Amino acid sequence: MKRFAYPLAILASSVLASACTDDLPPSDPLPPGSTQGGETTTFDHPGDSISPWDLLDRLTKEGPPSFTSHMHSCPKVKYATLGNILTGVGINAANTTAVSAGDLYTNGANALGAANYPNRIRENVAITTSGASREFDIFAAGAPEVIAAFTAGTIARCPGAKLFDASNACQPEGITCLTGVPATAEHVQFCNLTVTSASDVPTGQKLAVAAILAAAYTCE
Amino acid sequence: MAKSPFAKRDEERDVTRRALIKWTVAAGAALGVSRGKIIEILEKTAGKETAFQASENPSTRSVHIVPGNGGASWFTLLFPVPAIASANDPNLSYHKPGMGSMMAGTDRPYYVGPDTPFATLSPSQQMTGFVCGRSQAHTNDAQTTIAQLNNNNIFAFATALQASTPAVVPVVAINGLTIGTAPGGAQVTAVGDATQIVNLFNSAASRAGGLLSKSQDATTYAVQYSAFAQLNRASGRSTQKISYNTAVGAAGLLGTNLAAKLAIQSADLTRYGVTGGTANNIKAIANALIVAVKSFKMGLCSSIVLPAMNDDPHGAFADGRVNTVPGQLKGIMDAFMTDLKSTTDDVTNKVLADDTVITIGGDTPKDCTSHAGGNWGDGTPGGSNFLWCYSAGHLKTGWFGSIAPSGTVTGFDGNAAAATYNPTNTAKYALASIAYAIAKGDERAISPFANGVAISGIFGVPKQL
Repeated sequence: MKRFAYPLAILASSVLASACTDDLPPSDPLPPGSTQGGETTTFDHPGDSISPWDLLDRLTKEGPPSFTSHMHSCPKVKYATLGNILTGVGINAANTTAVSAGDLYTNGANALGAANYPNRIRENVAITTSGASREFDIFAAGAPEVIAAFTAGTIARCPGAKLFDASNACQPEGITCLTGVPATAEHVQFCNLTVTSASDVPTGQKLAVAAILAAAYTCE
Repeated sequence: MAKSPFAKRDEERDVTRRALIKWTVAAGAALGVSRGKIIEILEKTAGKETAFQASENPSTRSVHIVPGNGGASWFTLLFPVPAIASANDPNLSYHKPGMGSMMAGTDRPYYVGPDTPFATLSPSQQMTGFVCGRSQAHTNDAQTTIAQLNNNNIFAFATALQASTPAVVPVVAINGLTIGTAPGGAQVTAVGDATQIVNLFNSAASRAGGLLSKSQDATTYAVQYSAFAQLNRASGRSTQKISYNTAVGAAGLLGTNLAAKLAIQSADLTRYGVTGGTANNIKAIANALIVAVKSFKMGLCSSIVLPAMNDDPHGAFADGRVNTVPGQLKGIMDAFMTDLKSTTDDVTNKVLADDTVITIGGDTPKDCTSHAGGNWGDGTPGGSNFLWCYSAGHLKTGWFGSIAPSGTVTGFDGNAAAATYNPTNTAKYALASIAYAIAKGDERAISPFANGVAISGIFGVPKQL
């Protein structure tokens, strides 16, 4: 009996499968990146397949999505926070001199995406081109003040630290002071490269300060 | 009635399509890929419909001309009330009686005289005129007509409607004009005159004497910023890449000086008919409109509010200025339209003339029924005022409301039918219509301001779906 039962079962399964295939909906013509769902379940699911190895590699480096979404997002620096940063690195955030860092900060609330309470607009969360360029503009305008504070040893967050030595070479302690994390050899190397690549050394020093601050405070 | 699974699925897919457009365009901007290229990619991958939607700005840009201190009266000679101009009566306040004619094909009565701008455009592209609101003589920043829609100022709600259109500076107001507030509206950026707009888009660092004024330094900065940013370990994470790409673009923009692209050139002034003998108040209008086209083209700005004339021309008929000034204004307005028609938006690749709304409205149009005794009086029939709008085809063209040579004012109701003149209601309908034009016929978008005023099919051309 078994000799006939297995082939019969396979045949029945094949017939059933082919019959069911006729009932399947036609293949979804949606383009890559679209989502798809069934007619009875309107929950959409990503239609793309992903490489499990890429996913595993990403999870190993970044952690699970529930963790990365909290720890590795990159919101813009809040307007008030930026004011504190400026003060911390020796920039007068209340300076009213035209196109000084303080002036750009005070008059740049709109471009920086600060909250607009009268119009019931909350502070922007994401980084925008206009917001980032204004923030970087502030750092560029404030670079001379930062260098002066280092020279005078009066920088608020790390008094006495030096950013450049007598030969205009970048010092790790100064970079650490600006970024808030220990400076690496690459930091020092890039800093020195900035100083020497500019049109002159004083400009190079300002460019280095502006670029270091901009990179350190791109995200909150 | 509950939505069918098909309807729900379609809704979900619609949202997905919007999200796809949004994120593709954002990622493209961050990567420095032109919007035109993005749309090309979208067309290949997601279809023509998605690409078409991505290429559209949901709102138009806008230019608001605000003639103050009686200056609006000049524009009654450009865009006259049909009943006044066609009466062929030199005692009425129209300077070239019998020299024009009614235009055929507009939705409402429309008179074209020798000094009427845009006369060569099709009837559906002509101006829309409203007899609406109240005259408020001798003010440069009159509010009695332009702030009658839900107590919001026309300029403020324009910025709210334009909020979804990307711009470095959303709205610029020239020479002390205010824009008021509206929910979701932008904060105004004030400048003294049009030439100052040029510097508005430059970073302090890129200006003369700035840290990045030399191209070598600007390049060094952009390169070194990228290098330092890459030292942030998290900058390569999938959750941070887009933000850092945006920031890298911003670092490059910081050293770009836009002055050369935005500056008013002598060729521009020649095209607008401005010569050494042109009065400063007329030249100021030309300057503002020249900069408006250039900044709209680059997507730097969505709205410009500019003062106009401010000269209280009581004696214009007596001293003959009516024979020169309207012609100069026509020349400027026509050159502006020519620029709009020949310029495409760098962001959307659309012709600016199809994506720009122009409004004109000021304190008083003066008395259109008399300039007796050499005095073009401030008092208007029934205390009425006017608003004019170039709607890029979104509104019905011609005049809503009228003033008879006898001085009788006819208003209009919510169905655009003739009615007893009501300053508040007519202003409300006119402003809602302008909002409708800026929103490209999207009644849902204007509903927070319009408070139930229906525009589509009445004052506005129904949106083409």
